[in-house]
Amino acid sequence: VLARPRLLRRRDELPYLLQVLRNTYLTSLRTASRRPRTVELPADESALLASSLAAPVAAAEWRELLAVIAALPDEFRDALVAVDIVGLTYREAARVLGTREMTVGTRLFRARERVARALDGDPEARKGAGAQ
Amino acid sequence: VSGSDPTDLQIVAVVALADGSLPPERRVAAWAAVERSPLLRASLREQRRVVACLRALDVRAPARLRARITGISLSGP
Repeated sequence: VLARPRLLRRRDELPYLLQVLRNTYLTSLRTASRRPRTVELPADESALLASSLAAPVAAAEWRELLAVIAALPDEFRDALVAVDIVGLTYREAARVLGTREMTVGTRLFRARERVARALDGDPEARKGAGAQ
Repeated sequence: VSGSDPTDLQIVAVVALADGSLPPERRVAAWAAVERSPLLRASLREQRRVVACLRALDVRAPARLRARITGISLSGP
């Protein structure tokens, strides 16, 4: 109705056209409400989503690795997360963990050793048994 | 060194060699110890494998998180 040019010949046609305009507007709102809405994710979450969708195999490996790291004894896990995942220097990690740099290094050694063995299929390393 | 248990200093050197964080002035001595010891050589291979695995999966925390953690440590007791 609104797409075509129209001449108003009588005054009583104006309320009709206004009603059509209102109905058209309401229809557009209803149509929009039925469509899925997209919301922009924060930058960090977008990156996570993109990486997991782009590389499902890597995501599966990451989950396995995460499970192995989670099974490490607390002190070993803290050192590995601080240095290898968070990216702290040994000095920063020592400060955060309240220990010496040398201790961070030896714990990191044991943590990586256990991760390597767990990835090789050693069930004891995977369970975190024989800790410390 | 060969045939005996490595010292903590040697272990830490191997750990740092594996992730590239060993200061240059300590690298020559660390490599010499690794070459003398089959145990240290095997350990270095193992350590490097895990470091490579973590880096390949790109699991590093965002810089913002690192900065936050470091900030906490610096402002802590």
